[in-house]
Amino acid sequence: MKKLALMVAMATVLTGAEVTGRVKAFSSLFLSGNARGPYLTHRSGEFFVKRMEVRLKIQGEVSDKISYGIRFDAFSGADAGFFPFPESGPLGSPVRSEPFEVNLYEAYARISDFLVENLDFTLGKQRISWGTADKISVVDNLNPLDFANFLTFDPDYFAERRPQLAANFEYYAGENTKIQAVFLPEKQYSPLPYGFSSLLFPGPSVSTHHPSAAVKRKENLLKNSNFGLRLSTVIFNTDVGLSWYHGNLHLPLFEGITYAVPNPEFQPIPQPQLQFSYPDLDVVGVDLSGELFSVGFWAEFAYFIPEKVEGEIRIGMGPSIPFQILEDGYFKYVLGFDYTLGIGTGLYINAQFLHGFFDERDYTSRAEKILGIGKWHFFGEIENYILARAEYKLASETVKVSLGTLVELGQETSYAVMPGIEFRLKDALSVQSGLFLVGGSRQTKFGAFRDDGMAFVSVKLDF
Amino acid sequence: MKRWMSVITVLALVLPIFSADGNAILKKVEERLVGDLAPRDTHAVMVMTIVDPRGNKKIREMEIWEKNNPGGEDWRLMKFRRPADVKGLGFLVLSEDQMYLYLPEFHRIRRIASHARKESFVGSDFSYEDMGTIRFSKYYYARLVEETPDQYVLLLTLKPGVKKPYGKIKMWVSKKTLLPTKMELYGPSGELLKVSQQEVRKIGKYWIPVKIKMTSVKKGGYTLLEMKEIEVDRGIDRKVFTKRFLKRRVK
Repeated sequence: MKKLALMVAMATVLTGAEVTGRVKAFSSLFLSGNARGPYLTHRSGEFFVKRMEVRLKIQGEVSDKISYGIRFDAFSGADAGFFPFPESGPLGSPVRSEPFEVNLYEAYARISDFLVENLDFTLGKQRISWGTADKISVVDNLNPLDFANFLTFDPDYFAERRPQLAANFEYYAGENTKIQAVFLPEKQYSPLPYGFSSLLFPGPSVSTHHPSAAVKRKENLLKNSNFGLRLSTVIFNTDVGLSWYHGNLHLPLFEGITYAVPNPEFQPIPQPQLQFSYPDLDVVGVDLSGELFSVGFWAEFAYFIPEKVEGEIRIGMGPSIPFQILEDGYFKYVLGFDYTLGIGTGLYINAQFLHGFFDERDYTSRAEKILGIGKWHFFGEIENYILARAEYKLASETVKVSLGTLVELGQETSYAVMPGIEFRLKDALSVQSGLFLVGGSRQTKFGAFRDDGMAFVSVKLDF
Repeated sequence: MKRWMSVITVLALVLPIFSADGNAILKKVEERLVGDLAPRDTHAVMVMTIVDPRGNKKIREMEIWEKNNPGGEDWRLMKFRRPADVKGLGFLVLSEDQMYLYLPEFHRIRRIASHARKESFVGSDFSYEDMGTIRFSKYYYARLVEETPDQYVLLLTLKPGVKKPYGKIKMWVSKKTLLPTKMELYGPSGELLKVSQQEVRKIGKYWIPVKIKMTSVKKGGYTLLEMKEIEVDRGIDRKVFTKRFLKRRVK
């Protein structure tokens, strides 16, 4: 850590780079007890997340045409590690008793007018954002979703995606048109929340006692690399994008169960092993944004063509009955609008209809039946949602009151309501507080969090 | 009766002249603000001091590039320098209904619909509409209502069918510079909303507004906008006013 700090300091001094960053404390606690899960069990008033975050961003230019950006994120949990008592590390460092993690979040170099005029080349770990929808996008597939932080319900991480190693070529043909080609040498895997592997397990039709999990991953070969192409332009004052992504599912696909042969001597009960994979897929997307009568609108349509994956249920060395898991192709889309109503200083409203959450896929009916993949599970079937939020700013924008909502529309319905308030105490210093409350059927993706309502407080200082 | 007829005749002759004068003066003002007599392009640092009704101050600093667009609203690019939580945020205006916001934290560009123009600009007493360089004559008729040795006073009223946040604008125009020195901005129902006062300075061959104070009459408080390090006619490339440059970092 000291070496890292020294390197950062030296690089900054030598290149005249700029250092910015953020210090943030985020805590959330449960408003009620939940003893039956399915995902979280806790007591009322119990903390869910207690963490400090520090971001450090270094940016600079080597020359007029070469620039770079590096971002480190450091996390520290307040929960002491007991072994069985909190012990310090070597030389008295409290590192063992206070879990701490540093992450190279982003690191890239950018060359403008690379080889030819108007071609920008960015190499490194980077976030490449596609699409026009607000937050929830169906064509933004170059970076894996940060699912680990999604379930902390920290609004800063809502549907955020993590930077990925990529070679990104952006050619600007005229004032409004861009042609982009991205090469991603690595497959993309969304980080899952700590202790949430149980989310992956199938529904009730498959009896699984103490299963283990096996994950199939593609070999690290050039032919297995991901890539994307995109053309964006403006037509009739509307921003239009056409994209093609060849990559992989970022979240694991449950594809079968293998039961080891029972051994009466050592293992009298068959031991199931769940099989997962991250199959390849192509996504062809169209996205639009513009305005009609001063109302902002956006629309995204994506057609997903997954690799054919055969599922299996096998007992010992016995034969397996193969079945196709995903449909040959399926649509996801999002339609949304925003507007500011002329009430007081302006009431901002934003609503979207979403067909297909980021974790959902179109399973064959056979796979649904055999594997017990229900509509409402995470990584389950495609469903419809309405997401909406309203914001109102007061006192010269030093106070922002917001109300967010998510409605899950399926055979059964649930909803989440997220009221919040943010105070800008000083420039670059803000305190945000809010609630995450869920109602409706428990047999829905978000309804399953019905007893996990929580309150959070977040303090942020930017420098 | 004859006397009344002559008064009416005189008024009928005089009023259109006053009206025509108003529109002609407004045209001259626009020529200096956004037209042929305005700088072809401008680059400056803009410091915004927001003072709330209790006297608390907040400061925003932006770098701004502007280019005269003969066909419409000037192209404008703004990049925030401070405070730290908005540093790197960018705002690109290509026309009244084509605006983009760059969010550096997410490396994302979002299109902003024109409904946002009525919102406050970063918590200041200026709205996005105020920050634009609209051509008043496109939306307002101007009438000369008063003339002093130093100034013209124009009353701008909305043309039929036009929707704008200000139903009426009273504008004081310096005879020396032919630029506004003061504006009273009235709401659609005639209530006084804001008062803007500005100072100009000669830079090269142009008179440029260098200090604008916008006072919110109803809520109290004001915002002072100061232009520094002004450079004109640098030959800023049209390419600066694109999404490519919107994403670029400002030193």
